[in-house]
Amino acid sequence: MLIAPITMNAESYIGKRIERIEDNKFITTGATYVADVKGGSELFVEFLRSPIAHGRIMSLNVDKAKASPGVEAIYCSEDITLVDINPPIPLLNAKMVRPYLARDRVRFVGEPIVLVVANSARNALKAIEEIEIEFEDLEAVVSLDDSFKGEVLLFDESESNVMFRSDFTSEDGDRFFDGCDVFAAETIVNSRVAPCPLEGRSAMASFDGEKLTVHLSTQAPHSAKSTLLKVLGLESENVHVIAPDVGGGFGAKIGTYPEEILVAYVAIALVESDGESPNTPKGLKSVRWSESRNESMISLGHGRGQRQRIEIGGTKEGRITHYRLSVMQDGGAYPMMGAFLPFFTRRMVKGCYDIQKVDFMAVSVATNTTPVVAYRGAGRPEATYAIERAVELFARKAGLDPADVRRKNFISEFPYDTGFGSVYDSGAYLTALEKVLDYVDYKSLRAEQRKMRNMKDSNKSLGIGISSYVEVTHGFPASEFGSVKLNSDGTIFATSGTFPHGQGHGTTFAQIIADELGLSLEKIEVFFGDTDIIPRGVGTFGSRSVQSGGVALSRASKGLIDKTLDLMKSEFLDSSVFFESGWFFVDDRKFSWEDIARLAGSSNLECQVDYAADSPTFPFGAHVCIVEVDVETGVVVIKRVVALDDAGRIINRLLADGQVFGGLAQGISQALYEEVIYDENGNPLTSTFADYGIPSATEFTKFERLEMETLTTVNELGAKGIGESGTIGITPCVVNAVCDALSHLGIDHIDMPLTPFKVYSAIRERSS
Amino acid sequence: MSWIKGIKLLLNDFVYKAPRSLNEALKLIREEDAKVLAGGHSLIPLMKLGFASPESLIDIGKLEELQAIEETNGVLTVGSCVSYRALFESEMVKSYVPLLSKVASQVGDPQVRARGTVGGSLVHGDPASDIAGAILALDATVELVSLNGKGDIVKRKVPAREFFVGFLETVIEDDEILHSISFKNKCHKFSFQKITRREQDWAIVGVAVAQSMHGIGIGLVNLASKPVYLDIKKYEDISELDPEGVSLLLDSVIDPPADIYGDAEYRRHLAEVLLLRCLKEIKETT
Repeated sequence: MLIAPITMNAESYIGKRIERIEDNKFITTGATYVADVKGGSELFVEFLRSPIAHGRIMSLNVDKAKASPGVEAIYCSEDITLVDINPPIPLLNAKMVRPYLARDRVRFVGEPIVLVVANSARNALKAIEEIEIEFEDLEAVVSLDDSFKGEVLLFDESESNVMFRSDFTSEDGDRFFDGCDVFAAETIVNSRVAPCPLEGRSAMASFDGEKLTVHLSTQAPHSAKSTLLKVLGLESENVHVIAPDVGGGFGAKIGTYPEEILVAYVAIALVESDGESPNTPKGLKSVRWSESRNESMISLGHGRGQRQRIEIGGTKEGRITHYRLSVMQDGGAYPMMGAFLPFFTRRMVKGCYDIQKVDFMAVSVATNTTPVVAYRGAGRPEATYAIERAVELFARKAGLDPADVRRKNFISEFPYDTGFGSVYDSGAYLTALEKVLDYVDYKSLRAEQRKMRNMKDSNKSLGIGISSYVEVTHGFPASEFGSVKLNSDGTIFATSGTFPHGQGHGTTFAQIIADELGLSLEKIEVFFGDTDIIPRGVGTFGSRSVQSGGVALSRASKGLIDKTLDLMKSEFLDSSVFFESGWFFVDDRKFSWEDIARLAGSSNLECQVDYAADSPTFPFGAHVCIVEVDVETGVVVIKRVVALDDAGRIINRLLADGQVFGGLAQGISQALYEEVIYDENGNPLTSTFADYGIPSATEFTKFERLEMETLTTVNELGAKGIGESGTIGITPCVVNAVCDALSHLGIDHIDMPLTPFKVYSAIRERSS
Repeated sequence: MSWIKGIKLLLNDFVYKAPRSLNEALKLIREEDAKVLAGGHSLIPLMKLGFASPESLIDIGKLEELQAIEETNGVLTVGSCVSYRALFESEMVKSYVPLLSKVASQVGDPQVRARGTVGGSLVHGDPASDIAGAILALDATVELVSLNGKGDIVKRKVPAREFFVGFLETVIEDDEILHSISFKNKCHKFSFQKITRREQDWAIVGVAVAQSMHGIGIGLVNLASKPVYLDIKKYEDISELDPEGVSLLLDSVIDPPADIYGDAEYRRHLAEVLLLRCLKEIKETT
């Protein structure tokens, strides 16, 4: 179906900078998170978590804990009657099955072993201190190489530690790069990071004997519902999931975790065994769990965690003709979305470049570490990091300017089929790069760099980093629900199956609806996150919300107008009836939405739409980062960050800035500060914010953002996604900048995070 | 290998007491397993890590006489419970020992600076304490108080340079409270350099240098098991100090730790670089 693009004018809300309607509650105490929701007589869940990375549970004694004050119930693995958890995706190793609570064996520090329910969180924790447990230590598998060798297996049922595999398609092997004038290669690490949402995981469940109600801190309430009903064996109408305000997810809250399902399981089990416990009265109980920061750091999924071998070749004039990427993905202890990340990396393997011969292979392996999940960008930042570092190394080897090499190799015709499962819809990669280079006056910067290098006694070295990226948003187009309803007072109540957890959809979507209906913004309320009120939904991740949920609401608004026109036509037979700019015209009379609401009386003016896009969209952009490296101390100071992120039509410029700035901060932070570190026994060394390099605002400079809007034809809004782009482009950009600053010292690459110690060590190694 | 473990998750129960006078506080800390609490930014983390589990906490943070900043007869005295923020906001501190002001403004983050106290930092004896480095450079005197047999408050003065004994160990006795820190020399030439991973982090290495009419003082942060004072009295003119001289001097006092933020060699190197930068800055100060 060919859809006409939306029309816009000066009065349109779309495209404006509008402050978030939600801001007030979020910057005061007005927001309601799961832990703020009150309900019933309250019971608290806490977990005994494994203190060791790999071991057998030889004995477990919970008798003393059961007698501890306030304890309602204690569950060990054998008390849980649920079927073990299979990998979330069929392509992953099906033999790697996870019990809800560790059975016989623990596979990572932080894995839940015992669940305690008590009348306070403190009493639950006190009881946990009374649990006696005996382990037989097993050798921990921490490094990717050890895992791949498979001398120690994590799962007795599986003959290897491999979770997922995707092989090279070319059989050329060592001869792959034959005929290249210039060849560069490097092994690089895309470090493992912790998502660190400010609100950790939190769940509260109650069961009235028939219906289960779960309040959950999630990015996808409807998929949480379908997981719960499937796992617990309940009917759809008997599961009600409510996601109140959610304080961040970054991909780690897409799936439903064992701990969260167990909270629901316990709520049901306690009602079914009601009356046996002396501690709490009969009747509706709410069972709740909110993780501590320490739990969040070791048992909420981690992100990234790839080691990559990049190989690139081409002509001495700078045309890249060959590129090969080999990925080893750390999946952590159990296969979750992380083990599947290389699939997304593969999809974006070529980046923005028209390279003739490209190949890709990946292996995901299990290690005795926290499972890896999707994290802001999920596999695409890894692809961008690889190609953008590779292009930089190629340029250096060829003795060419990295900007020139990019110019010579950009894809310029669209749509473009990469041959790796992506068809780029639209783009203007060269324009984007030229814009940022012009803006920073690239030539002058290079001249300044030369001047600084010739200065004697200067301990400062200037580095200029560039990255060009293309990414995929709404990667697996799924149908999204939207409804728009006229209230009796002429205002609008809309619902969406997406779920904002910081993005501000309430404002963005209201803008889309307001423009369609010709209403002012404050007349529109958009509601999210309640599966009893919103019949279907997918959620918010993969930068999908505007291009799925936003389009659904745009169409539902149009549908509401059509429905109203039909009603008017049946009321005013033989009259000319049409709608324009918020008014319904009937011959020489006109009606506002308020009039319509009065006229319609009890007839239900609501339009529901399920919209599925035909294909994903491919936002792109170019970033420039300028750094100053203190070559005596290894300290990197970011002087400037300039980002051009083109995500097609922007609905709200202010919120787009917010998305990009937040993404830049997270991407820079991975490059400079953040890394999850384990010792050789699998003990996490970064399980607090003191140890883990979570940044504060102090760490960042002002971000400069350039705008460009290359519309997509995939949807009538012309919109792509902008939630992850900042994170995708900036990480390689910062590393390119630092390596550029050190190029005259013969340093080609330093692995992230570029801490003073690591940078100095690279310098020390070179100069000795 | 197998082992049994009861896993510690919670703080032990303790009794919190907030005495109304210094005398009362000094009495209370003589009780078994009592610990002095000021801003709580050293002690509470230790308790959370299970390294300390006192029976009672004696909160001296509300005692007004420990919050004073005053100048008498040319000596500046800073009460032990003055917060980092109060320290760097004080005009008197700024005009007397601006190094202390600058260092206090860079400790941790705003939350830490609002609660953490100068005395709390010193009695903790952390080798990575910026404040300790400054106090050493400024040749301050630490005043300790305790009760004598008659129940009267007695004072003991200890030069800062003799205060730190070993890892998290100072000369303070269990029945003593750090009352105040005093500075007898105005000192306007100073430099403070530190390298941190993030702004709010502990210094990987820090160097504080202060020059008064009585000479140059140097305090080293996170370069040994305790805060270290570097004596360069034999150099009358600091411009005599070349990199080699600095390097030799440092080796005589430092024993740098190693962790994920830097190995010993890196810290040693940083000490040299930062000390030379400090000396250069001092030389350039008119």
